Amino acid sequence: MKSRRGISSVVGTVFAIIALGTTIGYITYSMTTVDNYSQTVLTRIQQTLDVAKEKFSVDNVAIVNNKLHINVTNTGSLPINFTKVWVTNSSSLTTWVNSYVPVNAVIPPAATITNLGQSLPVYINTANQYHIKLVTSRGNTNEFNIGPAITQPLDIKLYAFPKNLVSGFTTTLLMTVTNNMSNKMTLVNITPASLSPGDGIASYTIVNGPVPTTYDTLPYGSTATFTWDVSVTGDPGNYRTFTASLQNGYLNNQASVTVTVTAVPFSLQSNTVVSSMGLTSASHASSILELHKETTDTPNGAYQMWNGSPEPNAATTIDTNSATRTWTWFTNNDTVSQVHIPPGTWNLLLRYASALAPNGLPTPVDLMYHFENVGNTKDSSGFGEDLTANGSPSFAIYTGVNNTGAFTLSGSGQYLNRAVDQTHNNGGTTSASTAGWFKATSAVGSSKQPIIRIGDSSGKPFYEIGLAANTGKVYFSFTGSNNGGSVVTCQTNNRYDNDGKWHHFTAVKTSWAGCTLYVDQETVSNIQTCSGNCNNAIANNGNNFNIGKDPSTNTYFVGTIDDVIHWNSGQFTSAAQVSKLLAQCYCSTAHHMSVTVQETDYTGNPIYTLNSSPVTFPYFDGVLDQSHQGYNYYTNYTFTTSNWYNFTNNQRLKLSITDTSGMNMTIRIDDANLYGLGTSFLQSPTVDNALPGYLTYSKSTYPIFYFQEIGPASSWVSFLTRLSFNDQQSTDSYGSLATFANGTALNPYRDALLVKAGQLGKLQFSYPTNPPCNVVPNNEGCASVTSIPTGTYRLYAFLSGYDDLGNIFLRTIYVGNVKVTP
Amino acid sequence: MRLARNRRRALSTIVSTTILLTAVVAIGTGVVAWSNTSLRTYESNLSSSASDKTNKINEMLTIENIVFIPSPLELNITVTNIGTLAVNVTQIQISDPSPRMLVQTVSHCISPNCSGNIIYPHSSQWFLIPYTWTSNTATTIAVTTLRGTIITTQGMHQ
Repeated sequence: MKSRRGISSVVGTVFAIIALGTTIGYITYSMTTVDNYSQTVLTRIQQTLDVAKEKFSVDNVAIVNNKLHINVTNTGSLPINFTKVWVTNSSSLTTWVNSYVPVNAVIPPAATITNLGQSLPVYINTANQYHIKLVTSRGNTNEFNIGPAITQPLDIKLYAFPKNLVSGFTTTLLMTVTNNMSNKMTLVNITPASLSPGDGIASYTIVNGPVPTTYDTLPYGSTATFTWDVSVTGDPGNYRTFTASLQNGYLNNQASVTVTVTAVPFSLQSNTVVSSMGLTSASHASSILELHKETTDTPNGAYQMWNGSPEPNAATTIDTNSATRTWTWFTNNDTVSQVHIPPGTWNLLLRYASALAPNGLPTPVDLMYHFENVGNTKDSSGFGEDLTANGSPSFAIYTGVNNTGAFTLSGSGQYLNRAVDQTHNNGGTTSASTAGWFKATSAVGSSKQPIIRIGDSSGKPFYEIGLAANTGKVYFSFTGSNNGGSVVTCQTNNRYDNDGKWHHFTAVKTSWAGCTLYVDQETVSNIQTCSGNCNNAIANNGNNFNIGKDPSTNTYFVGTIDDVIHWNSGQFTSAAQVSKLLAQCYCSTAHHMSVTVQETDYTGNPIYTLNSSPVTFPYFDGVLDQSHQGYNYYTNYTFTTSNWYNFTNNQRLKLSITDTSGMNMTIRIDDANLYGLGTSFLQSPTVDNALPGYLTYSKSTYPIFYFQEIGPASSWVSFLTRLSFNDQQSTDSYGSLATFANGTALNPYRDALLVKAGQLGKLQFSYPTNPPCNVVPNNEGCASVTSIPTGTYRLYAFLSGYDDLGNIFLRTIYVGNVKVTP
Repeated sequence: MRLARNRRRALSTIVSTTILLTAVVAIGTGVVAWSNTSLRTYESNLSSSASDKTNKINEMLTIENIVFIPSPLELNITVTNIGTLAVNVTQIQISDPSPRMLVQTVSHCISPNCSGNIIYPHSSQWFLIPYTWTSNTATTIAVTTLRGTIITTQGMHQ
């Protein structure tokens, strides 16, 4: 019995095992299926997240060679691949739409592609409007419009600096065009039409302009500025209205300004140029507030800002390479009546020169080549190591890194060179550094492509940076061995050729036998070193510093090289220094500042903020252009206010400029030699009264007035010289007679002592009265005159005299806004 | 007697045991067969469902561009497959705020490399749909695939 019962148990168990096994199998299969499904869901979620994480911005759109030239920055954390560009010609009668597949349009995170669109077979007609759509491989898109300014009116303004001028003098007309298109379209081909003369009989000659002649593109929100130098002649009171507009612009979208010839007597014959406080012309508009260097009577030691001209020989510079990051100017706070500033456009004109390199990098910079202007092979380091272009390499103002100028080398006999000297370009001894940008446009074949080479002969010491044969890797090699052997070499692991992208290199010679090479984000140390006698000079006289060629092998670079900087003894000691150089462009956004304009109380505490904006300023090479002591460049930053601002007593206008990042600069202020050309100033919309300045005159004392004879002739000042105090609040004015010159009395029988060229003269005047009279004690002839009341006046000096060649001069000089106190 | 009683008892035991075993085998076989069949069915359903859902999840397509063609009034709709599975577009539905809606069963695309309505991974197809669109009106486009995925977007002619 026992054994028979066991059979059924066995049978049952078998069935149970089968059932259990089937069930487990099903459950396992189900779990595997569910797991796969979950994995798919997770993958899809990840893909969706990737789509969301894919971020990019269109930084700039330009038209280069009649093709799109789009700069796009990857602002996300994933690489972006642009798979398609849609171009819609939306202005032609038969609208066409095409899609194109761009080449090499992959952008790593935090990188920028600068030439998207150049590979597309579509040519842009600047007369048409286009809708552009960029599509990424993940399906994200970015759309924008580009087109001419003909569809909508733009914010166009025209200013004259100065508006009132002496016959024969030159005024600068400044036209600002702000892209305020409602569809946020990037405008192309912004070109001013010919300056149109309007009402008035004053004659004029356009001396120069427009400068620049055109803006290829103008992004939404940006402002284009054009200037004309116009010489105006005529009788006092004559005027001429000028109207500026755009070629192919919106109908009647224009702006006008009137320039008036002032009633200033002027000798056409005199060789004498008498200058008072630096002024050699008549007044400038009350709305122009010059940035002065003085700090008297300002809150917290800030600079003065007022409607008065610079003093001679008093120019100064503000170097942003300092612990101070913000520089502030204030107007005075003692206006006698309200000053009303209407809504309108403000203009900050800064005249400055850019620093050579970012802070914290080795010094001195021995060679610096930016190739900015046509045919420009000059050295911006200040050492005059200018290059020679060989083989007629092609130059363009936009083919360099960050759309700057550069030479493109064909790889066939085209290169640049400079004879080596023992100071600046011989590859150094125990330390040297060389940096630059390159874009290799072809794959490196069996011949290397040298970027920089010092040393013309083989078998001798040399110093070289280039792309290695076959691999396209960047190498930095040098040797001090007399036979050219025992070469020190650093070489990257990645190749950097044939990708159409800009790459930055910094090659650092750390010793006779050591090197470090940085290319983009890659850092390598030497893989070969020098042994034995390595301390021979890299290159002796007779050799060359070559860009794009190795003369010892007759090999050449194919592509573009830009912003080459060489330190013949300076050595980069950290990757942070390299990163700083890599991040700094020598381009239109080299300087990053913040400009704030506020109405404040008398202590400088803000009441209203009129403007507070980040601003970028372009790189200005003050070394190559020594005009105006290296400050030949200026830039205008304009902003618009929509409210009225009223200034009562104890209120000030405050300007703050903060250097936030980027290259340092030196800002030129208070420069009398730049007056009329535009020393740094802030201009408000037209005001009813000038904001108070810092000139003070106590009416209980005799006015003392200094002038400078700046030659070439020497001169005598006569007793006919006068001061004129023009009351801003009424039609009343007051005058003073010249009484003493350099301590000696002036009268109809005695002129001033000869003031020789370059010398200062001191004039003393009578108390200002109406009518003007030499009021002295017991002088009854002046009994009925009215003494000048306290208040704010515009002060003019009228100088009368003749020079030592017998030519007369009669000149009126605007001194500035002056406060008359008891 | 003892022996006869023993034989009878053995016979009944054998019979009952045989019946029991037969029953066990029959029932067990039946249950196992039934459960196997059921589980296979469930497994098949699960597999099919999971496969469908997985494929549907993996379908990634986007309406990349819409061109409003003025004459004749048509829409040229570009659909791009950004996923890893081929998709088959079966229907495109177009509507705008006016009380009308066009449901178009897609017959074929018009792309140069058109292959029916199938869009292979990382490629695009154009679909030309007659539609009386009006300017400055938001037009909603909904694209349906064979697996039931629906993607929508809006376009407007200015």
